[in-house]
Amino acid sequence: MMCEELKEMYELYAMGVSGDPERNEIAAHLARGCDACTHGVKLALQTVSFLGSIAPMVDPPARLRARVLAIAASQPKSNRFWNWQQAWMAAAAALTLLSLGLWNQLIGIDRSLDEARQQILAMTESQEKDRATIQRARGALSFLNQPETRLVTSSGSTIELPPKARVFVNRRSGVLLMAGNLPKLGPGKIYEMWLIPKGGAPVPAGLFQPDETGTAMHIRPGEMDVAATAAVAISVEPESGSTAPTTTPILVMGL
Amino acid sequence: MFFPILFALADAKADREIAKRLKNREQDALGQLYDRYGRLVYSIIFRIVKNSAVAEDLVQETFLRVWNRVQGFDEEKGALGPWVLTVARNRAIDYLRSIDGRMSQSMYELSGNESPEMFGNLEKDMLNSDRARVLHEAFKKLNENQKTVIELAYFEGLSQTEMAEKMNQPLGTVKTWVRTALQALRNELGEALTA
Repeated sequence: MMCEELKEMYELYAMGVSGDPERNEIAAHLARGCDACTHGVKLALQTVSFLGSIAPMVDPPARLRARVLAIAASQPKSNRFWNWQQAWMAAAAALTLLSLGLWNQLIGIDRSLDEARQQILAMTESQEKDRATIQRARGALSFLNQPETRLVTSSGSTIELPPKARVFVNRRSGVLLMAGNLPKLGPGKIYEMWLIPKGGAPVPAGLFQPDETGTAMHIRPGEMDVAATAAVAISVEPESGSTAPTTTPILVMGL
Repeated sequence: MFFPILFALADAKADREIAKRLKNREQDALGQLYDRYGRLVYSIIFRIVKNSAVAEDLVQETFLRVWNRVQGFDEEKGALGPWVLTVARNRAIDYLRSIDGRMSQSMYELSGNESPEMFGNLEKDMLNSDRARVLHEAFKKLNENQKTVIELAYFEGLSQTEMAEKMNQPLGTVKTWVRTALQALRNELGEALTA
């Protein structure tokens, strides 16, 4: 598609809500460095960000500032190798090092340190996000699994909660399943998780037993092709496990 | 209640200074950034997730991400405010989609839209504060259906197909509302640019 055909979609793309084929087309234009689309999407990103002003203003709790500042306190104070004063001293030292043929080594060490620092920052960020997600998920599961928890419908009636599961997928790390309200199984039975490829047969993804509250957390580690996976399912199987589901899955989560 | 965003976005010089100091890993610069944008960020996230505890977590994630990625930000030509607001909105939409089981979509789209490089090297046609004011006024002029679809896209991260399902309207009708709404916003911004 031509840029002219795509420009009406820049704002939707900027909001991450555009549909195909425009989404893929814009992504392709950006990937090949298309000036018109890059400029258009940049402008759209700025414009869209101002839509935030529609939100009613709410005062955050005072403690939040301290939480945010704790981020910086937990990080290295400075990733700059030099300040100005140190830079002058280092420049003089560099002349000496050059004569000794050590300069290249120093550059290499500096670069390695920077790379290592960036990796640590990225890992810290990822861990922080994972921790927050898991805390929220645990809190929700704990709530859902309390025996007195009931689902209240719009008509005001209450019903028993059915089995529920939340699936987290990561192309590098695999699948994390968090399930609740799973029925207790009889002897010789076990739950089995399945990855269902698009247009393919279910692939075994591990066996697990819930605890006494019906809660289970199961991980199928390793890489996975998220785009090629249609769904994650759970079925009841003999305790030795099955190579293909032998019962109708009790839960199927589409990706 | 629109003044905070105008106030925060009006001082581009202060933003440049904060960005420069963040890149130098000066910890009090993060405090200044929070003081300028924390209330806006919290308000946007709270409007999206509607839960104060979750909003607090996501505000922290927002500033952590900015802190960790600011090295790629061009403090001379970049738009710090729009970048921070975009990171905040994306965190909240990511969360919303994760609990709705729409995670794969978020991973596909949102991550590339918040790299600091995407918020630099734009001509300074208008001050950010002017653009924000014009957009806010333009939004108020939209009809109710147009406002609804823009809000569903921005605050709920819904595609046009998802909006049609939620509003129980034909997809073509929703697409028309979206197209005319965006066109109206663009027109207002364009007129302001040439005025």
